[in-house]
Amino acid sequence: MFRTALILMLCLVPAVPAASQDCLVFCAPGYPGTTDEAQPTMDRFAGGLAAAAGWEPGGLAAVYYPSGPAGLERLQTPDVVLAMVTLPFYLKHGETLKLDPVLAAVAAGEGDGAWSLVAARDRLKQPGDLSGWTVTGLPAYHPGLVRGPVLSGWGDLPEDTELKFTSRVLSSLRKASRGENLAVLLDKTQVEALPSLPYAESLEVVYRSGPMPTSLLCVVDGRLPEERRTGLIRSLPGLEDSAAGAALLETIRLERFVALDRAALQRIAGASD
Amino acid sequence: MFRHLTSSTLDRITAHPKRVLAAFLLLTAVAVLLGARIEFRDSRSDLAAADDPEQARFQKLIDDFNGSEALVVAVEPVAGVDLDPLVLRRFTDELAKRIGRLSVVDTVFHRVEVERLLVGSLWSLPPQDLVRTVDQVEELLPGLQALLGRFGPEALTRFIDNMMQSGAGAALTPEDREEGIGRLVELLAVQKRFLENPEELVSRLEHAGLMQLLAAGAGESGADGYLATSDGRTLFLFVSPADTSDALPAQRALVDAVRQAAALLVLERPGFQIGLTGQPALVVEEMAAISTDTWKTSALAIAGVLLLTLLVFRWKFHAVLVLAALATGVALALGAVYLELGYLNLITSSFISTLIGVGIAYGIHPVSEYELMGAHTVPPEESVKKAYRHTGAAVTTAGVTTAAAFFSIVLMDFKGFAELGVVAGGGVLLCLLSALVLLPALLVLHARYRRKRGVGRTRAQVTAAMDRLWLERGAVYACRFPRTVSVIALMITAAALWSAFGIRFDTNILKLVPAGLESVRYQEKMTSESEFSPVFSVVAVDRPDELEAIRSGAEGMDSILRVDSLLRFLPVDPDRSSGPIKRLATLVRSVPVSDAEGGVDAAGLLEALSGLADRLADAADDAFGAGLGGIAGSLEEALETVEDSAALVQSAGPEQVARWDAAVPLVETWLIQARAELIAASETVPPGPSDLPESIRSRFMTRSGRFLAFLQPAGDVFDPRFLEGYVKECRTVSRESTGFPIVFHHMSRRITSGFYRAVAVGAVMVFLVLLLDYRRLGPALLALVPLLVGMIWMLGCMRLLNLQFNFANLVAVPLIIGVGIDNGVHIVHRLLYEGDEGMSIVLRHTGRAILIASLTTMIGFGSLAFASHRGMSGLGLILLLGVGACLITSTVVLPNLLVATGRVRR
Repeated sequence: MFRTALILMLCLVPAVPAASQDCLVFCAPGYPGTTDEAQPTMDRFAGGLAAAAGWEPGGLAAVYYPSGPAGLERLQTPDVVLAMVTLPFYLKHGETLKLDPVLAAVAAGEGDGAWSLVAARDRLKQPGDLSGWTVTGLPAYHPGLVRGPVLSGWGDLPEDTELKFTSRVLSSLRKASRGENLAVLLDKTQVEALPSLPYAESLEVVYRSGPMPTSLLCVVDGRLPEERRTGLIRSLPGLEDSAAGAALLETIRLERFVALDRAALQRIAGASD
Repeated sequence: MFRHLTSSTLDRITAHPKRVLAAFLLLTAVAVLLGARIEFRDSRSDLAAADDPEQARFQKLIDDFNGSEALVVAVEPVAGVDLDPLVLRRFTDELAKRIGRLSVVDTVFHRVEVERLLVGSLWSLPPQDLVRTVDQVEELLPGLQALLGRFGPEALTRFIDNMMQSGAGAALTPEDREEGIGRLVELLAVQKRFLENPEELVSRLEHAGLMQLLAAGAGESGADGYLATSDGRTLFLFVSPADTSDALPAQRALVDAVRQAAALLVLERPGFQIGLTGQPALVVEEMAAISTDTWKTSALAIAGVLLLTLLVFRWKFHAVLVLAALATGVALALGAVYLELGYLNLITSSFISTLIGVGIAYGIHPVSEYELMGAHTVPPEESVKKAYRHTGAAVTTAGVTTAAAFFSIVLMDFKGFAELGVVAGGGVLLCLLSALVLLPALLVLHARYRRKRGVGRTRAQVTAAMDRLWLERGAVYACRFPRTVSVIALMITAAALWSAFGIRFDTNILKLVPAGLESVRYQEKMTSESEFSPVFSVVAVDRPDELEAIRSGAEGMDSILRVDSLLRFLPVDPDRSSGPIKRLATLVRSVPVSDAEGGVDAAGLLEALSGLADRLADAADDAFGAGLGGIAGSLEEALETVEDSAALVQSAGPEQVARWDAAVPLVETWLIQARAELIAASETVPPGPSDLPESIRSRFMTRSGRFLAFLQPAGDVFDPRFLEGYVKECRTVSRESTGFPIVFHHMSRRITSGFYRAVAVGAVMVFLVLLLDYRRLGPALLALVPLLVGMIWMLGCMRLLNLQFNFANLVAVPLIIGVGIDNGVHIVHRLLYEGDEGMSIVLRHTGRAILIASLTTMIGFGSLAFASHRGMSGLGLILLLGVGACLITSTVVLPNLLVATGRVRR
């Protein structure tokens, strides 16, 4: 969903949310775009979300952070009541920031949220082949997620496999195609874009993980009143059924909000430790 | 009364054979003299009626515009040679120049002069394309200057910024961005090419300059204006003849001269191969094949007929007499042709072989009877009279029915076929006359001569007696199992009738010509691999604004690929275009002319390339992260090119740097020239037709100044289904549409509709003649049975051999009606004469003649099956099947049916 930031590039008017407003922070480390570029879209989305949840007009502001530290800092300010974060971010900082996930978000074209491990053709046959390699990609923001839920279904990774977070996914793919000991984790959209690369023939998908949520809508540190929290959980799922709701979701390239499978999330969190 | 008349005539002929011979000699001499004056017309337009409106419209266009049936020259590298496109273009330019100098050539069109057109015709671009072009200029000029000129880091960075904004700018649509990045990739490739081989790039700038880039942006040919296949490996030249006549000598002169000029150039510059197509090449190649085939098949037919005739008439001189009577009939027919028409055309010229095949039968029947009766054993006059009394009526009826069937071809509603009907029908009657009048006189004179010389019974006469023995035995065996044979024949007929419904009419005339013709091969290549077709429809109008109506009328038509006319080069909307053109003028003037000295700064260039690589990598990562795979892929491609260029700079030694330094001033000069061209282009006034280059004017205007619109077909006009739709849509666009496809379609319809009429009328006429002869319905119907069953068998065999009807073999049907009826006529005549004596006697007396006559006809027609021309060979095969089938149905099926039904005893 944070890919919308790129689509909104060159939107030149930065906006700062008013201090008196409740704030929703989008935090997606490694995703493209900048806070300023994304702000007009954030404003439109915040207005639409407030209306959908039945809040007073102008009662909610939103802001986007593509980097972890800046997002972390902003999330600690008292006006932030809601956070839309990626799964790796939640697993890494959820406890510290007291994030309470209430809904899962399904991004357009993301499908079931599975991750695919891509490497140079014919170089990886089994997890043991990753000895001395680096596995990189967005999920590596929380290495436990990679070793656990993402790749444990394939097998245990060797101890000397380095897990390295990067937002330069394409650069990693280029290096992998040139023979570097590098494997890259891609989401569904990125896997679908692989064939358009000039070196696509030299790459292959080695393993595909099971389904998992990609983004979570969380209440921050219990700052959202219970009434508002309940209204939000009730109003957002099914938003896509109305034309206006679908259009609102489309602004940030979301398909829908769905009820959270807490048990599954707990299993993922447990396996990521 | 008729029999009395023939009997008394026969008495006189046999009484005064010398007078008859003298009269015929005189007539033949006159006929030969007249026949020698017959003109041969080999023009295809002579095949259609001059007052035919479609033909007249097309002829009017041809008279005014000699490019309507152009010869097309295809130029390509020899197989397996990977030739530089530039070398191919230069060869084509030279070839066009040389062909243009030939006296038989009016004009050669092989390239739209993109540069000249753009300079003079920015006005001709649709306003929206013009805006796009000006945008491109704005974007490309600084970039080109940076890439090809100085390579200074500053200029290059500006260029990168420009491109990156276009490439990954979020305000643009994904299509805009893809296009922008596509141009970036192209420019980077140009840069890489320069670094690899600066001299080659500089040389290419002559032909692939800025104007070509702009032309490509404006939708002009990507092959620098050359008329090319989509892969650019084959270029085409449209050669308009100086002589607009479609007569064979004129077309042959054109084709030969062009072929010779091309061959000479290929000798000088090997590595190329030339192919000719278009109507002139197709006609010349086809006529050459027909000419060879005609000689070959005629020799086969004459040799075969002679051999068979001499073989079966063991008395050799009887064969000579039969052939002499036939030759006299043919000579008289030629004299009649002169009196009737005065000329022969491409179709009627084949009537002689038809006459030989058919006319020989009229002599065979009486002579065969004469021999079987025991010629020379009684006074010859009596033998001859007796033989003619037995066969004369049947021969007359057979001849008249054949002539009637041939005359029915007149109704085929196509002048070429109609004239064939007249000359072949008249020729048959004259051959009949010769067989009925001259031949008995010759037989009597020959017998008197032998008696006078005291020649006795020869060995040949003995063998004739052996023939009788064979025939008697054969005749007995032929009807031994009448019911079984009848049932089998009925079953075969039913099966053949059922399968005959699968036979279709194929109007694709390319399937008639010999397989593998060069002209057909290149025609198919043009149709399938290029946007040009050697055949097309044309509309001529008086004013340029009428062209617009034609263009808009053709929009959305499935079968019309595009409309080519002067509109492509004339102002579309001068008012809307003036704004962008002024902007272009200002823009180009604002681009400074570089006055920097010195060569390439390798270190600076490397630094700039490194910076560009980083920028590209960032943009690619962003695009990939955003799921924009197409853009990411293009950026990655650009990145690879930049990295290659950087590697080239890094590894370059002093020698390479010196080469770059030497080339840079040339590139600068080119840029200055491009700037000047753009300024000139932006300062033109809206051009009119008279401002256009002559090559364009002669292609799109007639000599009298009318404006032409070429409706380029979107498919193969020789595919009947496509042609139907194409002609319909051309007609919708303009009622005045003309050209080969339209005339061909029109003629096809006339011929096919006339064909059914001719067959119906021919059959009715044949039946009427039979009724007139027999005076009773029963025998007339009986005589038709072998023909009807034989034709059904013929159709069944056609289906079995996967043969379809087409324009070449269509005429076989009336021919088979005319020839196939003869056997039934002879059998029924014999039945009426001596049917009481049993079928074996009937077959014994007439079977030999039917067999010989049918075999000679089959040899005559069957020889055509050996032709390389698929139309001729198909016609020969069908005639062979038809005559063969009628032979079996008349000598086996009909007799067995009559015996099985108890009408005649065995």
